[in-house]
Amino acid sequence: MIANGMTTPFVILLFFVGVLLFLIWQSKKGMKFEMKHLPGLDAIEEAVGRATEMGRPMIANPGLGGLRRGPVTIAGLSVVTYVSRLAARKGTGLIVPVANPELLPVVDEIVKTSYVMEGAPEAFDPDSQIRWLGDNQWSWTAGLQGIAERERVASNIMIGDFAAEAMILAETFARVGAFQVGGLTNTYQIPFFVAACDYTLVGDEMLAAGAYLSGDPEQIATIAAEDIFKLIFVGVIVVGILLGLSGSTALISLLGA
Amino acid sequence: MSAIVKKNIPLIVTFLIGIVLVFEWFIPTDVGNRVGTGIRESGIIINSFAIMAGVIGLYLNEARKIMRRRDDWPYSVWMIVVVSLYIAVGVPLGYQSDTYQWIYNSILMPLGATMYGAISFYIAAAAYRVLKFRSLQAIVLLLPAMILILGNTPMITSFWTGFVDSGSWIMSYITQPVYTGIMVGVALGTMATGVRTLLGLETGWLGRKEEAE
Repeated sequence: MIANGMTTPFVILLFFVGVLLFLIWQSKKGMKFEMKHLPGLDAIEEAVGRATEMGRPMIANPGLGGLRRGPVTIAGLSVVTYVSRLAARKGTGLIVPVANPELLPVVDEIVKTSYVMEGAPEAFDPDSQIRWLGDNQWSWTAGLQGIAERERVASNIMIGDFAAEAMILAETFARVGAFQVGGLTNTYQIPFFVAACDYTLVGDEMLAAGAYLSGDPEQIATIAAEDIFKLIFVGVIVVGILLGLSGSTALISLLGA
Repeated sequence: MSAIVKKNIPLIVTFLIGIVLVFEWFIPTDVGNRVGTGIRESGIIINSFAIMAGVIGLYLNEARKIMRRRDDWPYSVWMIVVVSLYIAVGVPLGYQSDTYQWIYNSILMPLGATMYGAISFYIAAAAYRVLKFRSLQAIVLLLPAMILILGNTPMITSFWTGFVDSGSWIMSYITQPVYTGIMVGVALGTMATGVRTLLGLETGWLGRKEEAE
């Protein structure tokens, strides 16, 4: 049976998936969901345009983690797909740094596909565009700093899995004058990106990147499901505060079931 | 054929593995545990092959740079020398051998520690740029930041601990609730991205093949 203490999370997950599937079904039937504008993601096109006008390369960085980091890396790869298509369309020099070796063939494939889709397969050069800088956190960071300084990168899109290297990377690219869009879910590193990047995607904004950039109504319907649950959770928090003030532990017992 | 290999099969494998692992987590059974362990071990094996493929790709890539005398090609020579050294020592002796550990502890560890130590200077540079009286918002950021900086400065706290208490209050009653709010959003976003990926809606990580075909 259900593991001890897992009943409530499992029920919440099933309920969430149910709402999500219902909204996807509604979307297929023609219901429209509107998503608020995310300036950070809107600014990506500006970042590509800037690099094109300056004649300098730009970076699309999916972060340190591999596919085992799950949704965070998947969101980062969705952004790499979007950026590489824009770069292929505008003829912008693109560099995609990779840390995790298992991510290397995936990144190679998605960037190559983007160039093929934009009708510029000859512009794809894996030697100079896809750079594996080692999967050690600090060798990867040092390699990226070297690229920033030597190639005077015009724009830097860092959306994905970042840890302690976040501050070094953001500050280095800020020093070389790069236009920066950052996005991560690691709460301890968010202030560093906010301090050094032009735009920062915080938490679930970053995870919504794939849906937002694709413009796919079914994917946007899943963001609506997230918003419904955010409201429910706010309600639960308010009820929890009131029950806590009255000395009741009923909600804690229920959530811990 | 190409669409089946590049899109459909990865999506089917992703869906099946995802469903098995979700149910193994919530409803543990002996069979589920064995299947889940097998999947995780397969992941480690695939990862090992990916590293091997990565090393071969690295050799080919760096050799190409050297032969074509591309920019910074001497670094490629150095890369090949160092990787070869680690392989020459690590494969016959093992990564736990004293020789391998000596190389690791004498080269990589100090370099890593140096990089990590440099963070403080980058934080100081970023803080200098951000913490200025430019607007009302900047002041709201600056005041608690100053309290926290002073509360973490031994020279100040040695004769007055008021900043320590104020800093703790800010971290516990202002910062932590905000972090919690972000974490709730991240948890929901993770679930939604996971479901999108399992259902094959999120295909950015496959290069959006459906448009390419």
